[in-house]
Amino acid sequence: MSEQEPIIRHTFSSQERYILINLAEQILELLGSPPEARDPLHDVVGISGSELPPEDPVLKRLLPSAYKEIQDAAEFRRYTEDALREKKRAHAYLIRESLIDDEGLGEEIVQGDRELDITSIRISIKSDDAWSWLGGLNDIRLALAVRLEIGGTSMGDLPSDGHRVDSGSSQKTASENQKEIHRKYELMTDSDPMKAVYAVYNWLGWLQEEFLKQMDPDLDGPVTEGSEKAS
Amino acid sequence: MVAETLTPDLDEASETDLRPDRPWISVVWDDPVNLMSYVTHVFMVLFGYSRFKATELMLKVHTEGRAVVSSGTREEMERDVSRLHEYGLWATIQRDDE
Repeated sequence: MSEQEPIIRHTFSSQERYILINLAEQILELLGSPPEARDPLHDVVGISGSELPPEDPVLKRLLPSAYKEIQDAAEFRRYTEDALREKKRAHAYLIRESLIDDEGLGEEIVQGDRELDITSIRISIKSDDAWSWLGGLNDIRLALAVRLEIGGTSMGDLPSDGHRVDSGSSQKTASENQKEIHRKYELMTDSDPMKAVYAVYNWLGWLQEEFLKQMDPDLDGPVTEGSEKAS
Repeated sequence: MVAETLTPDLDEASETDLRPDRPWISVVWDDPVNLMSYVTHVFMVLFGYSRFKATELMLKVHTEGRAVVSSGTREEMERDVSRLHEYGLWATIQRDDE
């Protein structure tokens, strides 16, 4: 295969780079060790044995139940959770590696210890990796949102009746909730660590949107009816 | 979902085409984190849906709290939901008659 042209380019400041490396590492840690570090018997039989949803609220959101019925959810989880963890780990790992060691990816120069003296970096992402980046960034946003209690404390719990999930405060629209959350963090003092977390959360949303725009120049274009619907 | 820059025209919205002979469906649920543009693109990339159809489904999730995004055999739906989970969407499988 010939070299793929990058479809996303982005420069991370040293601080942004440091933050994102750390967040990706936290996701890796949360998702647990790779399969080779576990009992090889698990891989032989192809199941992880875990049937219950994770107790950690972040993991519960990253590895949600696929069925409402507890039995079906448990069986599905037993056969698929490991694979999902591995995919998510791979996404986080790619982000971390791209930002730490960018051989062939950019022009950064790291002097000394990366954690003490980290420089800005220009990243080029090829199309094969673009969705790993987007998925990985999304996992980090989901994780931060749980910690920030965006969506209340019930994120990841399915509504029993199949209707709207209105997190905690009932009958509010999504944009009202969004404004409320925004106000809550705007009113915090700068010394409150959660205010910084909220800023990172917003930045990652902006970054995700920015990457999507680079991948798809029509993103802001008009949405017109496609040909597939004309039968 | 989070409202961002996308403001599609809803005038042309229509019913999602779901074949009645397919007994299982995958459902995507709204959450306050995933960006509207991101969700639309996940639908386009995972299912090969047009921008129009993907946007329509995303808006259905956003306004109604959930949308059926695919239908087929149980195995097909399990594959779809696994991929939706890989990209952080909140999705479940169920029988079509529920």
